Amino acid sequence: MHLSDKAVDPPGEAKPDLDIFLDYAARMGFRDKDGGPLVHWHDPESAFEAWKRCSAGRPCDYTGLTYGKLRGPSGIQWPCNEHAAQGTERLYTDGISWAHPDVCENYGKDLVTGASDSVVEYRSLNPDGKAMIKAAAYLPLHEMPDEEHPFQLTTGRTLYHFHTRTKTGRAPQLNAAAPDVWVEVSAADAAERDLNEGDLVEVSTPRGALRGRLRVTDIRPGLLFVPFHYGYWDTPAGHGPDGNTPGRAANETTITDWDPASKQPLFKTAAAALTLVERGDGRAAPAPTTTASAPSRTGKAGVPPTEGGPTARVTQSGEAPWHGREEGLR
Amino acid sequence: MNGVTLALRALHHGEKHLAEHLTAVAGRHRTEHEIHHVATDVALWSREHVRRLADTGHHYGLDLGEAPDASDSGVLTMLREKAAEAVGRRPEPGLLLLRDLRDLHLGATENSLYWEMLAQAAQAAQAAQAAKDDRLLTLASSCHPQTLRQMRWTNTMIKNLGPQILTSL
Repeated sequence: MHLSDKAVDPPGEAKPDLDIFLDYAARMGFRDKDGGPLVHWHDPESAFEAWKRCSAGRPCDYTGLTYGKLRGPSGIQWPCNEHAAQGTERLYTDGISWAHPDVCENYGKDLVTGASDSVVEYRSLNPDGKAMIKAAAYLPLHEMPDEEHPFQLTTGRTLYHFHTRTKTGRAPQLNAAAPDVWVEVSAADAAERDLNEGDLVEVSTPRGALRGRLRVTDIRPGLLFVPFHYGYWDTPAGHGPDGNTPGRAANETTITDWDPASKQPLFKTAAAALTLVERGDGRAAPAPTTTASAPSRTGKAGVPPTEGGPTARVTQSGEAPWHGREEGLR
Repeated sequence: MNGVTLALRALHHGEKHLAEHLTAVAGRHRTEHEIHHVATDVALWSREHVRRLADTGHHYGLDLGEAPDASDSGVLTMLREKAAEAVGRRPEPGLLLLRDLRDLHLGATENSLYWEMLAQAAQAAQAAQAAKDDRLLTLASSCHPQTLRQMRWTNTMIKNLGPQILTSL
């Protein structure tokens, strides 16, 4: 646990989320079982005190934590209670008891269907509550490539951005390295379709389409890759494609499907078609030349290497002071 | 005709029917994405069972046909899916879905009982004869668990979807 204090005041007339929540609770008149106000805290610290009581006796017991302790030289590991006043460095040093059939509240699921296992099945399978390795048999893709959509599209990340780029897009060197969406294709597929680095292409799936400049890489033939970081918050349109802003959000093309056990959406895959929209003008795709989007080794030379530039360089002196935990202060 | 061939025939019929039923339900409820995808996946199990039952049946003098491909359903599937998209957002499909899940569960349960009968008949025959024939027991022990998983899936979906569907009528 770490304490993060307020960094800045909310802008303009915006209120902190906690104040909005407390105001809402007061206006709704939420009551507890004894008729008193359900929400009886008024600031972050009193909310934390209430949360501590919820955690008492649970695996993540916080009852021994206080803001005072958290303002010390370091974060504190839970559980932190009367048995472990300074927190717990290592969990489960005596094995794990939570998976025992008498204790656990959930018995697992079928990894293919998501069906819940019953306590009877679980008890016969794992009477001592040990760790289990569960396997799932291979299943074919729910959307296989076909004549109309001959490629497998996979989506993913670039090293230079995190999620929707609300932070990384505002770091000049990171933004310069990967300013816009691109499409990766294998050298073999590019040659077969007479496509080149920098060509504007459209990737379309049964759900939607996007446009980006082509980067020819050593990706496996039959596969296309598009990074998912590029939505519309920093485009003139603001929230979606329009007449002037073509589609570029990779997640709008992927299949509507999820893992039945965990309910995680499959934002990864689709069967896709690739078509040329416009020949490039000699400029490379806006993709980094480092990491997985590196240009194909068999391709034409001439893609300028990605660099941070002078503003990305730092100097460091020999002796850096260490702000680590000091035993005496505890 | 003996107990084993009776069970093999019943299972072949039952698994073929369940495969078709699962595929029809997947099409009818195209807008319920999890139902659509998982029903399609577990239909593959029943199709595989049909293939293996036909294969095993040859050894007992039975000529059981192979199941039709998923791709044979063609026009009918497409019509079902289009209809599903048109009405999918209205409340009535919820009741239809619960009924379909119930019927699928009953179909899988029938198959499960026949797998048990087949396994029992195979063990009895093995005890009575000197010859060891593991073929039927191998078939039952690898297919029956998947049938049980089909049952558990339909049961879990009814439990998960029931509250919202039944309280919003």
